[in-house]
Amino acid sequence: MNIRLTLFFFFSGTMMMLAQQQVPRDTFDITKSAMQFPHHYKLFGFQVSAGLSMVQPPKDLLESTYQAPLVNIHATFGLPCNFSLEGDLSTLIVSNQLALGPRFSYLYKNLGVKLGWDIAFVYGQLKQLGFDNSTKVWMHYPNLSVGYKLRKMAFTVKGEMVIVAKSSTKSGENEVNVSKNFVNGGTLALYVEQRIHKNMVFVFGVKDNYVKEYWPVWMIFTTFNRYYNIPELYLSWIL
Amino acid sequence: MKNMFSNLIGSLLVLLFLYSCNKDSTVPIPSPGLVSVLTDAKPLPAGSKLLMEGVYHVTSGSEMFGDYMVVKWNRTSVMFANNNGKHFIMQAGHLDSVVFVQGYWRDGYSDATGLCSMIITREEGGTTIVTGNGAQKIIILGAYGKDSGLPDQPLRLEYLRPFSDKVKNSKFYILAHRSGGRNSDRLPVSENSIAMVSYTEKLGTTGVEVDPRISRDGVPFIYHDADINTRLTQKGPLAGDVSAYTWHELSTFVRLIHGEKIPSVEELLTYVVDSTQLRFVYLDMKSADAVPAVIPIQLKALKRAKDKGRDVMIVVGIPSTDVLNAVLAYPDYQNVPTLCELTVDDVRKANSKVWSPRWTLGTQNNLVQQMQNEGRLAICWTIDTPSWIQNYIETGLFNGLLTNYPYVEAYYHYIQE
Repeated sequence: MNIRLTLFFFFSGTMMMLAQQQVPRDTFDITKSAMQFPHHYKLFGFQVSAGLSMVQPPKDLLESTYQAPLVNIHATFGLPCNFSLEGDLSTLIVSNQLALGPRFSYLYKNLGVKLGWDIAFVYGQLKQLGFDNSTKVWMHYPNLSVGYKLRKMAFTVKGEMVIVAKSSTKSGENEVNVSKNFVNGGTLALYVEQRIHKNMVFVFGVKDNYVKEYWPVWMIFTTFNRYYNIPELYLSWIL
Repeated sequence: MKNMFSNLIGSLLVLLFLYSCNKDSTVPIPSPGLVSVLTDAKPLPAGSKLLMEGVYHVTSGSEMFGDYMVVKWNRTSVMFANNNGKHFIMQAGHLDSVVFVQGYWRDGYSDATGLCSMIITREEGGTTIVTGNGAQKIIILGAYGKDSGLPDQPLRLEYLRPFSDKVKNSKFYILAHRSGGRNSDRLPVSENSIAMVSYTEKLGTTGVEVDPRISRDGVPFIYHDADINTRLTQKGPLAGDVSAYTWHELSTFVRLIHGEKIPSVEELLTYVVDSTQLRFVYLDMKSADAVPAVIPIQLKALKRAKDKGRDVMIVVGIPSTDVLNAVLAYPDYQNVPTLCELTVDDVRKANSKVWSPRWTLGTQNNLVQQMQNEGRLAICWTIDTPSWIQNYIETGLFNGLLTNYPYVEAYYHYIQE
């Protein structure tokens, strides 16, 4: 009997103590983890996200059923005075783009604005499927992002111009296309950054490329001179 | 607030979807409307057509069409071609001594197109052309428009000279890819169709490359990709490996992107021999399994051409070693006309009539001459950039070039002095 009473009081006491303890308050704020949403990035703080872009090329550019997603790594580095540096590497193995550029961000309450200018280099080479082509392209991407945040979620609309500084495409050793200084088109994207678990943030994006020459397939179709809408679905984890 | 965001996302997704639908897979041919002066005009006799052909100086409209144009008649129409891919597909006829020329122009590298209407007056060459008499001084006056708009921009062409003797005596082949043109160049008919074989002559083509495969029940047919897909076909009940179906299934259930049936190799070759002026067919074998079935059809078509007095070369293409082995395994293969894309040694091994190297390997004039000295032809594939087409025609010794832009090749071939 005594043992039963002792156990009863022990468990009751433990339960009461546990009940009195406060559950830790969830202080998560998406601005500390977001990469696309414009905010004041932590000074000298470094963030990386890794993901995939699924692309739906127009039928004109689909010469085979071989399609693969773009693998993407995106990084930000916080600088003083609301500046930051952003880098982006996208690769399809046969075609690769490295972009790097400064950003200036301004955050007012839940609204953020970010201005940036990226310089990108594309290198592609395709020696399969009857092709023997390679390409080198230098591009500029002036861009503007506008975002709105909730506590665990942020929405960002990003637009950018695609300006070609210089492109050169070769078939074998023969230069088949050299272009300089032209506006290739623009892109418009919506990114949703959503906390999934603890501080883990998932980025979902939809992007439309309205361009004449789309860098992942640049080296294949050198003669087309028309604009295409090319949608991309972007999924990534902020690491 | 949540509703607002879901609406925003929904709207953007819908917009993205709408924008991403690149619906215009064809550049529409502009229509001149119901009234055409050609309805009452008489067709030009063959001699008149020859008088119209030649090199013209563009004295008005050169900012759009360049300084020179080549005018060349084909089986059904007259083509005007320039050096930057813009070309005119025109019909012509005469009323008394006035020649009327109507049709449309198209930029082969973009979607630009428009109507065009021209006239050759009695005094400025009309009488010469219609009667076949008099000095060949021709001025073509006209106007061009954009899209379906009426022709309102001036165009004036002055006859400069006839084609050179070099061109007239040449048997150079202007070969067009995929029976005459790719779907991605937004032509009004489907690639690898009989309709394309017919249409491509309007673009200056004198020969075609086509892609034979074989059906499950052993019927060779023309189709480029290994699978049934919406790049090449309209949506239908069949999907997957195209060679997994019988010929009856393919011809019943599959329609090419513009509604045509998939042609069998026999249907296509019969059409080329009977109904066109094409001089070359390159059967670019997509499957080694198809070789034993294609060769008898090729030989039958060659006999048909010979019986009809048609000078047409039909060759089985050898793009890979497995096709080469299939050809070498065929009885009496040495007498089967073939085109080999491999090395010159392979060409000799198969006794191919044509050597066809990739253009990126250069003009290779020494090897080309070796092949020609052995009584073979040399034709390179597939060259699309205007400056390189010009370079290969001017500095190379090839007997023909395979291209997706035959009008550019035609321009650089016919303008040679």
